[in-house]
Amino acid sequence: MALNIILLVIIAIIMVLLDLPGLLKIEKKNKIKVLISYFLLLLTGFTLGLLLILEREPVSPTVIIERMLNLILGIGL
Amino acid sequence: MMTNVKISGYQLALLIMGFLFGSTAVLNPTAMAGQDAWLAYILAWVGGFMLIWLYVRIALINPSLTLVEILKVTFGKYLGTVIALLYIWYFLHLAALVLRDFGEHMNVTVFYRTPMTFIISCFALLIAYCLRKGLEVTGRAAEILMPYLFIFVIIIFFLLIPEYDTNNLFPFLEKGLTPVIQVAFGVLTFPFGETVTFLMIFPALYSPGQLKKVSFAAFGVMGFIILGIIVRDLLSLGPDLLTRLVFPPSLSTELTPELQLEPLISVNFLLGGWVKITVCLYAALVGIAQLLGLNDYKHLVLPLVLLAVGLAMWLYEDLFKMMDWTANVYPYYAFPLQFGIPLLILLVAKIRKLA
Repeated sequence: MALNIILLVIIAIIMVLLDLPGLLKIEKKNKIKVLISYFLLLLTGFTLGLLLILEREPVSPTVIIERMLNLILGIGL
Repeated sequence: MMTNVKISGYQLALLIMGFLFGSTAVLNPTAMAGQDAWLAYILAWVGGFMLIWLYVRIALINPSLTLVEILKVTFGKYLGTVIALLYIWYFLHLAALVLRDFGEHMNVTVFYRTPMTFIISCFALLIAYCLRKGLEVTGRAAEILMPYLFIFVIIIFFLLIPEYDTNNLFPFLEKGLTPVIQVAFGVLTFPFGETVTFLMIFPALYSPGQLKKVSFAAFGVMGFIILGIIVRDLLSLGPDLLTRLVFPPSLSTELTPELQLEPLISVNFLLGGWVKITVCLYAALVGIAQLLGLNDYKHLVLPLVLLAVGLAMWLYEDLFKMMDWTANVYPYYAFPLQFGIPLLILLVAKIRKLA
């Protein structure tokens, strides 16, 4: 488990290092928006990966979709 | 952003064909219709032609606009943005679903002892590279690689001829038409309706005048190829075995005497899956970039691919849950996005034109 977490951290660091030169070159007008969306997506992916490794992931979206459809359509799918 | 990206009609046709092939040919969604699988497929195929007509109409009414922009124009800034977010989620979810299908297939048939996360991550790396290089590069790579997909399908089809038993097609409509229509509905949403994703790509076509011809030709050719695969599996395996298998083509290729053809199925899945996931993630990335008003989506490729890999691993507990969800829940989840909203867009456009 510890090895998997270390690997995930390394992957995230490599990704940021790969993207950093490009991120720094973005024109000022869009820089904040790109940086926020970049790190938001990265953080979401990283957190999800971490929770999966720790086996503490929340309810899957497929289960939520199934429940919502049952509620809306009123049928046992 | 989109105006800089240009692909030829041939490249678009190959992308549509690879997208349709995707995981369809490996999972065989018609299997549950037993000996009437071919009929369920043909019904869905006809429905698929109606859907692609709908998408092409929308694209022709709104030339040079992607689905996200069309939604904003049709439903206004706020409601349009909400629906656009739904579509971006759908494209990301679809990419994760195909990634998971790919991981499960490779785990079951080829790499028994390799962790699925590793298989999915390797595939995702290749897709990230394509996305960073742009749609034109994916289109050109499809020009080189997709012919192999057709060649492999044809080779397997003809090599299995000695194993075909036409009795496997009968009794015709043994359980009536209702189960066939239910399966046809499922096939309509997977894979035909999923081509709604191309509403994000149609504006990239170099000659918009070719759009209708190219889309219909791609639907016709790949539809015919998938029909060939379904008939091949049905004739060689029989309806009983077909309904019990998760990956029917993998077993049907095992029947070839003195030849090990299963790797060709995996290679085909690799090619089709690559096109499908790349198109889905490209659509999601362009959607995000357009919603945020960004000039380029390429900075967001790596974090979105990481998210897609995480999502793929998170979606299902196991293979059986995946099969059950795909067959019983997915059609109802996807249909409003594939048919309901596009129909609304077309109706609103027609009403505006009349007004």
